[in-house]
Amino acid sequence: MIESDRNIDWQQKLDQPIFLEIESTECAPPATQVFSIPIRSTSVQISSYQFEPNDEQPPAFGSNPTPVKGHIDDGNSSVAKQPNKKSRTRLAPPKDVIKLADRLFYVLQPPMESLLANHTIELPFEPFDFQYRGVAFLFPRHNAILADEMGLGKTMQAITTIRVLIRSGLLKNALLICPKPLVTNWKRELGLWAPEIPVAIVEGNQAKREWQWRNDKTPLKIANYELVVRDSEVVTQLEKPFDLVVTDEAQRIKNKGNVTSKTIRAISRKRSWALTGTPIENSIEDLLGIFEFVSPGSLNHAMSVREIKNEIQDYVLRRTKDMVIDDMPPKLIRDTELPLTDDQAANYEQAENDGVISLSDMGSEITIKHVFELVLRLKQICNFDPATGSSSKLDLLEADLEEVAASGQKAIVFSQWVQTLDRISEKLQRFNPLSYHGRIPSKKRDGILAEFKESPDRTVLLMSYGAGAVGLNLQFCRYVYLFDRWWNPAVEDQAINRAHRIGVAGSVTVTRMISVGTIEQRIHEILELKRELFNEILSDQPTPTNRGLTRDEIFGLFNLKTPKGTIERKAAA
Amino acid sequence: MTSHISASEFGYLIVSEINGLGFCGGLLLVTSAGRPIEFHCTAPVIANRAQQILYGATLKEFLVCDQIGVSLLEKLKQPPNVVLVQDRQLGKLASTVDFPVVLVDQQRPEVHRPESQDPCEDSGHLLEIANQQFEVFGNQADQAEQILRSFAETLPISEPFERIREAINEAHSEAA
Repeated sequence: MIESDRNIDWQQKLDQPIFLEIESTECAPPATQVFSIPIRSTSVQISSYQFEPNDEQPPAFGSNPTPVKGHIDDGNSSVAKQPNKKSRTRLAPPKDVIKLADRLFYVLQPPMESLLANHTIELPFEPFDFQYRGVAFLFPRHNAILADEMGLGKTMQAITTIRVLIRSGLLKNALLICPKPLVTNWKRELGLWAPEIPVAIVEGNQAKREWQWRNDKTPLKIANYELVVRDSEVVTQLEKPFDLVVTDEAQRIKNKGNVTSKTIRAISRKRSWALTGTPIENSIEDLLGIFEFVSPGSLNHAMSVREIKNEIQDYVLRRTKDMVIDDMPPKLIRDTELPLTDDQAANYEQAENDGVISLSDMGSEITIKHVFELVLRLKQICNFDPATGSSSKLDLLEADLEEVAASGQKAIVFSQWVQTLDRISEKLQRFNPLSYHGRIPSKKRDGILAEFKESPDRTVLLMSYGAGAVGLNLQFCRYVYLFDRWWNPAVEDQAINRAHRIGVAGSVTVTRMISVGTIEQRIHEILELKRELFNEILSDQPTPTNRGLTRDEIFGLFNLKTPKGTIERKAAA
Repeated sequence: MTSHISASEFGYLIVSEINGLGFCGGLLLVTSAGRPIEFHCTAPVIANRAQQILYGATLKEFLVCDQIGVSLLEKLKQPPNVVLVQDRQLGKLASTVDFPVVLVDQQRPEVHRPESQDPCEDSGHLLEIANQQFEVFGNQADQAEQILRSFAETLPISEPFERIREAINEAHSEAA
């Protein structure tokens, strides 16, 4: 601050020094407070699983033959060219596998294509994609039905899966049960698709078989149904369970009450697979019967059709040729309605009239057996006139075979009667026919098929439905004749599919012979309805009804009434 | 963690974000034939609030690589001779292990490299095998190439990644 003096001259004031007084005020910053925030590491929770891959072990059963990649089927095996090398077929765990570790075991396996491309597992031909999917379906399953339509290679898919399981160490002791005529077929296919896997065919006298059942350590045994039943005391009492039991043509065990089914169900086993192109031949009851082997107790009569369909979804794999093969040559069905010859017509009319009168006279004593006897009698007349041997069907067949032979093709003729086949054979000698039916010894059958295939002079093969309907590969034939009709459309389809299989070179023409105005025409209509049942239950169609050949329908063939009322099946209601 | 290059196993490592759950990791060890030997998977990992704020743009790399990747590799009972990844960030794991980490990419790795990034930094040795691009992190590029070429003859190299994704889904659907 400056002091002033009014008495001092202003000049003097200017000369006076200036005095400054400074006042300081301390201005200290406030103390800083530090807060530390710890950055904790997030804890990572890890689940770990260990697997034993087993693929590094050396081949245990000898060396593999050199594979022939990309080979097209030559007529003996259901195989095909490789359609798509980039596709990857992944294993999926079945629904009944509950533990996460077990489910991950399947999820983490490489695609089937990679598994099978492994240098220790070589295939003679590249399978189709759907065949890889079939192997991927069977591989993880302990309970499964492979129900592919005939001709899609169920045998190859089962063999390949068994092979992979054996090579992976997951299978050491398997049993394959098949119809007797197919044992050699299985042996041949195993030699092709799993040449390094030792196979033992259970055969010989009782002592030898018992030794085989109890002591033979061969990883895969093959036995026919009849033999298993015969050896039931041994095979159902073995110390160790089989790792796998496969039933081929599993419709053989569809009747839960029969001895074959009971025996096979009593065999101790860890895995149960059924192979059949016709899991439903007549009614859902057939499927229930097969399931008693595959997964006992899963299905029962109290279940609705919808419940059954839901239950079987994870157990059954069913593909048809239409679904999986785009470029398969077509199957042409020709229903040929033929008038009877005059002789046949006269005999037929008399037999029918006499028969119906006779049945009507029986009143309440009438049984289904009596009706069947009349049906069979009439069907035989439709084939050949019993007195003169004339046959409108044979006339057509002869004319057709002229063309077949002239074009260098081959034909199969099916009948339900050996007697009919013999009569056809007599009349068709100029075509050098071969016969294949129940009266031909098993040992000769393979030779007959080989001759039919190899010899250009052998134009026609005469087969019975019983002997020739299943398991045979005759895809070199372009013509199939159903001289008479079987009771069951599934059996007819099996017969047709001997020729219409993977590997068939061209279209297959199927001629179904029907004598017009006869019982054959009425049966044909019922068969077509039965065919629908099969398609409905194994597809996504609405609830099917039982359209089997019921007692009512059989009696209805002659407008007769059922003496014991209508028979309905609960599962199909 | 130590490893032996002579081992014949291949590791496949994935860390992926699952909507609403966080990051999940899976590590599959397979044989040269592609068969599984070990599988390790994590429960979903979520960053806490502090990590979200303080790690900023580096948060994902921290979770994917330092948290999940390292934890999974430490769980391996058998050392692989190579670990394959599909996420470039996991390439950094090569500095924590003594086997190569290989980035498998359908397209050329350099296409994905950020422009601002020094091409010499955080990059590995580029390879092309069976029409597929690879980038090898670590010091054994030659050995990695030899191993990958032999493996590619057995199996599509990227295929096991699909299995891990399915297995993670299976494990999480089980937990749900």
